[in-house]
Amino acid sequence: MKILAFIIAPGNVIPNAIAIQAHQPDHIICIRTKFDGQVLEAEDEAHSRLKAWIKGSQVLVDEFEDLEQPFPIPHTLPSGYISSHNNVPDIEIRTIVKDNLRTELYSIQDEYLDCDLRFDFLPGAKTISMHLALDDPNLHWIPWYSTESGTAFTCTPSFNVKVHKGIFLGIVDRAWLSGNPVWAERQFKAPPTTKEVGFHRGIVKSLEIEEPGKGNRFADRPISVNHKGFKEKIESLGYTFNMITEDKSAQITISKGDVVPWTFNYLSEIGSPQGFYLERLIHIELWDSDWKPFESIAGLNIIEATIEGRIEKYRNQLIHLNKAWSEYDRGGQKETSEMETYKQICKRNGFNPEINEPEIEELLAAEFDFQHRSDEPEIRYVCNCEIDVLILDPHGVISFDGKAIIKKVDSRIRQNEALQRPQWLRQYQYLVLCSTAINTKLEEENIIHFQRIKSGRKGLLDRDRCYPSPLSKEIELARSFKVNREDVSSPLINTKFINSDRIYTRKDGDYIPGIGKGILLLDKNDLQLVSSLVNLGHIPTDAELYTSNQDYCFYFVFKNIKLRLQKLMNFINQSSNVIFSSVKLDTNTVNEILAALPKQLDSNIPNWVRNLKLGRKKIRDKIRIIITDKEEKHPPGILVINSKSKPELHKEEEKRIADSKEFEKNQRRRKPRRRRGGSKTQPKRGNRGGNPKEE
Amino acid sequence: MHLHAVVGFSFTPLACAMLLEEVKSVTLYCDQSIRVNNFLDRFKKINDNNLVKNLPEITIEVIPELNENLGNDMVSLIQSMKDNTSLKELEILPDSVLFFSGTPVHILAFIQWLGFKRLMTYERGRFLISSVTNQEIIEKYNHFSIDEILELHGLNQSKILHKSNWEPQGSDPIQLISKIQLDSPNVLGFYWEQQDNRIDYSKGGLRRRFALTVRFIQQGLGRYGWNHYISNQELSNWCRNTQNIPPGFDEEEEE
Repeated sequence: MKILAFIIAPGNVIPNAIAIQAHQPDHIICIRTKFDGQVLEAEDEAHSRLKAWIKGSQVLVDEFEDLEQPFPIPHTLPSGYISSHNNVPDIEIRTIVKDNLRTELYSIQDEYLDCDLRFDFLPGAKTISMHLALDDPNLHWIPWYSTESGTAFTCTPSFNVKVHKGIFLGIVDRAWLSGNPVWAERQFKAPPTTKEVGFHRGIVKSLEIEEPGKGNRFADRPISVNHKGFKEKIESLGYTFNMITEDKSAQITISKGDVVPWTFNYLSEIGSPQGFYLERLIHIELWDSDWKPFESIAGLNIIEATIEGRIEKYRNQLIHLNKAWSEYDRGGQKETSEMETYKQICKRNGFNPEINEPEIEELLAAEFDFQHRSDEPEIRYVCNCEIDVLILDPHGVISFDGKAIIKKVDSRIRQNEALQRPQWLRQYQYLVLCSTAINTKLEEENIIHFQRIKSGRKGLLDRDRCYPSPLSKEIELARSFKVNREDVSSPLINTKFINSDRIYTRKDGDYIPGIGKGILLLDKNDLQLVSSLVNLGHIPTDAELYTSNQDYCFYFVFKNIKLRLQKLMNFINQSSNVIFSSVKLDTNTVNEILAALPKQLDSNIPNWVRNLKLGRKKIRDKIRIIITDKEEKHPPGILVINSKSKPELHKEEEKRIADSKEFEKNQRRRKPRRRRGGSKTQPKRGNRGGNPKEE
Repeated sequence: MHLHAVVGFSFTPLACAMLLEEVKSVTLYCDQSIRVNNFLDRFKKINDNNLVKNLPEITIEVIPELNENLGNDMVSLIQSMKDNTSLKELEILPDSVLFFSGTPVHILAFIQWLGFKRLMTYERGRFLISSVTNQEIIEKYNHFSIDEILELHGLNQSKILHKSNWEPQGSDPIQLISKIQLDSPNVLGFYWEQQDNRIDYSKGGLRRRFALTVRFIQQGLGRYGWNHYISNQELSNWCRNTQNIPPGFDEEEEE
């Protein structure tokens, strides 16, 4: 007879269930410890759930408040305890003073003579139990440790390990044991079939890179089903591609042979492309990789446990949608999926918000009635969170959330998601990206690229884990740039190094300053590519990028590279008719520049510039030189200003200096902030109204 | 006494144990030398400031890594440790005591394989050295200040106070933690502002700020190095089991 004992902690019984499932005992002794004199509550709710779980699936479900309220909540049943020999073990809970643990175990072993006595150290407070690991000839309990995979082991003398392979505790059961009902949209307890994997591979092969989105994004240009090329490719592989549209929304169905067709939402109610396709692709890809999960779920909805909680959550969601509608209705906001969802909810319950907006409580009651009548009640408004994909592997449960694009890395949003998850879902979380244009900042995040899932856990150690595999030619180009103090060059692109502490160029009729050093692209066809790489952080720069209508058209600016006059001169030779430059220079440099300028600029340079006298000692201080050409209206000519001593200029030019100072002051005010991504990450499914994963 | 300890993530009890008068030498086991060196740098800095005692002789042993990214789960870890030659060569002298830190797997393996007869734990503000037949209590040891405890864990008061800053819309920011004090030699008490007409802990924004700060502190100090004192009973109860979703947490009423 196998007896399993362990400490049972308040609140969290998942480790206890892991140990029970691994050892397959005949009798379980849960030891609840207390301090001397401490009064414990009669029974912990989690302990009741553990007892119920052993008795079976439905008994555990019965521990929860009526899942038919406020409307029938779809849920996935837990397995309950799985016995390898059709035996339901007895379970008892004994409460003892913590210092008496050893004597209690002596006493229990006397009750179970000649039994296989196992004490598992996985559950419960270790400071209380760990003393039992010391070799005690009178204690007949063998110290064991259970793991997430359902394997337990014990260490025996002379560096030996005894391993016992049991059964692992499934993801859905963990959720119910932790106190939340769940709904799993798609669940695999064994690898998908070869046909299903083949179907998946064809789809992955057909994904096409989307065009760049609007504005700066942290991750953009996903490989997706949204590109027209996808349809052509997938059809060329013998798949059937079918799209059904309704108003602005659309749904795609892909089928081939006898594999169950795949249908997913393609466009939202307001016509925005959706990222739903990712969930399934990630799910199958994880199985078709070195991750080797025991189990996986795609689309796990963690449901609010109490009826009151579910009603409250639903009410809050309606309030949120109503707010979006009101803002839209007042004309303050453009069309959003939230306002569209609110309109649809009203419509399906017989209200027209444009004419008579219902009270929230009125709408709430109507909604519950609607969900009651529905064949497929929606649960997104009664869930704490929805997770795209989860797997269980030897380390435990790992969650993956798919992202097609990331407009902004918003730590608050990430934290919100984390707060809404119970601990067992917070341990290991990763985002899966399928973008191809990815900001270097994402290297710091828990992000793995879709194309790197294949390599399993090893991929997580790769510094390029957030990038496509193989690396895109753009990233290789970015990495080909050699940046040092004296030069910036790339064998793959034609550039010229420039140096300046302050470079002005013109954008939309305004002067914009950049600070630092830079390179000049000699071929304007390289502009878009390099600009995008700079925006994504692959080429180091601390300045905004600007373009011009001139032939040279573009420059960008590097950090921490000191001035080299010769390079600056080259730059001026190339482009003096467009660039305004302000640099810190010593006397010789200034003289050299002044000597060089007449050769480069035409005779419109005023005499005062040519005859300019510079204070001898002050020349090392900050001097700004702004170089313009005749076409530029402001500021004209060459202006040299010593910040500590005013240059000797004739009166006519003093106003120009004043104007220039004002100009520079304005430039400082206008100095662009560091680039950010878009305004918002994609909304999460289930958290908000409207449609999820909208790009 | 020769103290042996696996370097985990909770440093205060280990640092106190290393400064015990009885401890003459220390062996630290760690899977990442950078982590143990960071800890030792902070530890030495604090000791230099206080001159508690001459530091014991410290040896570092690198042991197999428990790294989820490498696929080193507990079963792989125990197999790697089993084959680790430097562990096999270790000689455990009779004056050796194993300090309880690291994972239970480390403790199980060290006791069974290396033959430790005594285990030191830190419980309720005192050190216990247990053997099968005996238990020794050490109550006299160096007590670190609040700042020293935080420094050992790479934290400081301003970081924590800043984390607790709440910025209500249209009003000045409010620092929600009003004071930090020592509850016991190893446990810091964080006192939260009382509820009033400005501060309403039933509101989502404050609940979120509270939960984030509690988890931030927990991440730094470990599971047992802190207490939170807050008038809101729901939030106070949640602190006993922070692995649950914070009470009444709902994104929609956060703003």
